[in-house]
Amino acid sequence: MPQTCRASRAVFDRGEALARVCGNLALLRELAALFLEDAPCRVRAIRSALQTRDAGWLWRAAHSLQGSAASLNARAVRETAARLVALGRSGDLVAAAQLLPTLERALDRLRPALAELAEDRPAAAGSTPPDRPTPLPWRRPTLPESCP
Amino acid sequence: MKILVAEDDRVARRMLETVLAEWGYEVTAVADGVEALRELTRADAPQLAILDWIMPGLDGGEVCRRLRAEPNARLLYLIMLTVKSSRADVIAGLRAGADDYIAKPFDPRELRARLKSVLRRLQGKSAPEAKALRELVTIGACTLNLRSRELRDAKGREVPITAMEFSLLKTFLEHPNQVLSRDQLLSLTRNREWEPFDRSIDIRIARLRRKIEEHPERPKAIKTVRGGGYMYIPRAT
Repeated sequence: MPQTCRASRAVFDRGEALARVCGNLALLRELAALFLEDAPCRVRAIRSALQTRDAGWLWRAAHSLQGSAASLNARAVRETAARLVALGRSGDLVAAAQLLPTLERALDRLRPALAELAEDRPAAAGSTPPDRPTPLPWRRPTLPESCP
Repeated sequence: MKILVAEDDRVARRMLETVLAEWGYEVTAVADGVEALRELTRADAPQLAILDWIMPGLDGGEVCRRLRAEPNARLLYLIMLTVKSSRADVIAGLRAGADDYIAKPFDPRELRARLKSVLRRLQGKSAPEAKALRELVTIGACTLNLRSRELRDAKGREVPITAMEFSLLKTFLEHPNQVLSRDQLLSLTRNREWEPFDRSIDIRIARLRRKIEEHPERPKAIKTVRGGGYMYIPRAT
């Protein structure tokens, strides 16, 4: 497999993601849209946790992002988030801060693929909008802007 | 069949909710542990729940503990949802009272097959019988898979055991906090190789202790009862 294909599939393997939802393309598109809505909030939470040196808040936010990425088979984001979880749990905020740009770059590479997938999503007649994302309520958020 | 999904992440929750509904389950989806506990203690609660390990409010482990601590515990099969790398979370969850676990990202075919297997066992079973059928149990510092007969240590590494050792472990698990004499162990394991008053069981148990106990010289799981035999003491959750 060419290097570019391998790199691309490491970011997002559409085929594997589709298999994970039993071939339900409409569902995959919906999940892609949810991820694109929620990921910025998770990253802001991670950044805020690093600023306030809150390791517990950090690993919980990274854990949420890891789970979302795992559901979509977004390997690079999942693996980087997993490393952040481990660093947060061990209290190594210095290494976690150094890893944050890697996570952001992985998300930047993932975003176009998911956006393309989500934008093809037709609006179902009479459908109710997806529920709002669950904020991270383990403590009062001190984010620069509210999560949706 | 009703099933509860407790998962704070919207993507994972929506995915589970949709695939489970497609498979014919009646799904209730919640986003935190407090809500999960409320739903699972209702009179018409689902018999089966998939709980994320890390959640707002109460985490999955605490939900398991509180449900299992109920004096009139309903028949509930609890599946914990964890991330693949966290073997420590898996073991902690099983100790908290979960019956099984699924690692993210999960294979939907595996999930579906597991759920069908659970359904077969839940249908027509009483709570004590269903409890006896739980596949993964902790004993000492290890986890024993009653179906595959695999014993794994706290780090998830397989610990080889013989068929006889498995029989011994299963017998202890089926008789917690009961003194079992050597003859009773002989009878219960139905091992035809043993002669009456066979003392080799002491050697077998010493070997088992080396495999399952954190400190074999100070066993906590399989205790010796002087003049009586041996007793398995489950670890408190």
